[in-house]
Amino acid sequence: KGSSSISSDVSSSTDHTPTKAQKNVATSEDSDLSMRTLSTPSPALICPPNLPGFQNGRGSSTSSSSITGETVAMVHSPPPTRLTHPLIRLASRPQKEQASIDRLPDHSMVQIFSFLPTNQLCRCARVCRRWYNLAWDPRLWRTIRLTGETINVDRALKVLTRRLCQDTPNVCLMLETVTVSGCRRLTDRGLYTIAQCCPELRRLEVSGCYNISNEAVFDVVSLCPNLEHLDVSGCSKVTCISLTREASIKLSPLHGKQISIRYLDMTDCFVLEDEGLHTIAAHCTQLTHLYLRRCVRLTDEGLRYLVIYCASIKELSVSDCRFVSDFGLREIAKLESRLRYLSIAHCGRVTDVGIRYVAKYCSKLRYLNARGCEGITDHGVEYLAKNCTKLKSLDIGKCPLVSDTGLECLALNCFNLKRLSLKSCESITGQGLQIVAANCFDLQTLNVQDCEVSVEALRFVKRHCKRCVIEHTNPAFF
Amino acid sequence: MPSIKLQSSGGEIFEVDVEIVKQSLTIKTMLEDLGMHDEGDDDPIPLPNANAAIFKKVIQWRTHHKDNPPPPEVDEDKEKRTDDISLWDQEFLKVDQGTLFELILAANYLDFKGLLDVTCKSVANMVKRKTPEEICKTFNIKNDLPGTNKICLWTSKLILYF
Repeated sequence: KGSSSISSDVSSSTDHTPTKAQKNVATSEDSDLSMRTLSTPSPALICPPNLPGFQNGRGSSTSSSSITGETVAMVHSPPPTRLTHPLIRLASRPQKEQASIDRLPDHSMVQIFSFLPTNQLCRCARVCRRWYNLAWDPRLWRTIRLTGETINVDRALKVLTRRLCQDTPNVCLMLETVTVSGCRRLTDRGLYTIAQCCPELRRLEVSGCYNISNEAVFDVVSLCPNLEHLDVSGCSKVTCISLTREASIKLSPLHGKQISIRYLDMTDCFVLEDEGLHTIAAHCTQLTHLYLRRCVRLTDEGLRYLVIYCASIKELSVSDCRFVSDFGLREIAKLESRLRYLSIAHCGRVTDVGIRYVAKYCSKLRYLNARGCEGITDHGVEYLAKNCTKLKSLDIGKCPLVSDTGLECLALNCFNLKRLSLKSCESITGQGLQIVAANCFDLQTLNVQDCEVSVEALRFVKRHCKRCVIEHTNPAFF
Repeated sequence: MPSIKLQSSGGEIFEVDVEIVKQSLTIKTMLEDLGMHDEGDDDPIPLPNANAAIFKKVIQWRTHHKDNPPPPEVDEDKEKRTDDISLWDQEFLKVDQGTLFELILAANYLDFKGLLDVTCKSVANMVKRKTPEEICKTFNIKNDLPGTNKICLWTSKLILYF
């Protein structure tokens, strides 16, 4: 009944009718068939607890996918055989009355599937033979995206990568992106699975997976030489990015110990210290985007190392790194015109001196977040305005010493300003706002919460900057 | 406004504004191949793969969207969204499944990427968050997967985690 390349030792004696498939209860016939060596559960089954690698007795289900209406039936546990026969394409059996969706050619179906998240794709693989074949189209598996705090993500990755490795034993050449942010149950084993199977990996996002440790990260970085984008924010055990010892030994001296990562997010890796940053910088010399928010142990020394090795940094955030001071900013200024985005929010030790260094050398700065840098005064703002005329976004909220004078200078020099935050700037008045509004026509967002500005001034802004959205705490203005 | 004549598979002739169908690579190619831009040639361009009813709907969609720029190149790294279908499009696509699939075929044939995008998104929305059984029911698909062999072991293993 249609050619099938399923191996013949498995039961295909009973024709599988649709009514059987759609019933969610294991019938007596199914359990007869389960006498075979590869006892196969009916589709709606949950695996028994004694399979290796299972961490708890219950089958895990994610919060994001609820499989309703399925009953659980226990089955004899199948031996954990490695399924050796390649599951080649199933031939479609001709059907009597065609579902209208079958009129769509394969490439249209693949295009529809390309909008589906990973978990839904896996469900689609169980709809019918045609969908099974289409769901595993390599074009759909350049990315794996998993979500859910309770999902057993180590195991899920193992099963998925094994299926994707079918045609190219042990490796999936198609996988380029793996995003498992928020899957808190991810451990080093899950990462190691990815590292081993995905030599073409370019992006890895494991934000919030706090069980990850350095070893696993080193494995990934060593085995995936094409990795460009790594997000380990919230992985608080990670203190370094480096190659494994084996990898270091293998690489030739010419190659150096280079890691090609360009984007690195280590936000909330609060154990990171200057020495760790030194090692990271020495290995990842091609960094362009680096986020070290709330890595509170870092000091100016770490920044010094960073800038020595990584000359191409475009975006840098050291917000809430409270030990960073003007000396650190002097180091950052060495990035010169490559730097476009800088956040030093809540770096309380920063004063006008540091701002002047950055402004003087990084004239192409587009975004500066200096919220909470209470040492900044109008002088700093003036210097900034005159040197960084391309500024598009500026946050000087909680800088109580900045007044209308600074605002005026800003208005007269930075015409491209689109976003401005002056939250809690006690010294700002409506006058300063009006000058900004009269000059910066592109203003799109303005934050003047907790500022002493009159309703007239706000109305003035609204009249002159039509597209501007104003965040304020003045109950009289609407 | 210059217009051109297009003939559907059933022989019906539609006169449409050139601007509206210009984005279609298929029609553009035909125009060039048949050398029909300049002369006020009255011969209609045959589109054997488009029936009249669907063609009308396609023209309706294109007319509404004629001022839209062509859709941007897809950023491979971004997750593809399906919740950004405009209200007008949602109303437009409140049709039976058969028509929806015909629209996909027509958009594909005529190479209107915007329409193809929005119709595929719609179908994807019909699939999302459904179990395999629910999908079978929605689309009247017969599940011909063998219930008792390795394939289902794979896929049922997967279903545990999703």
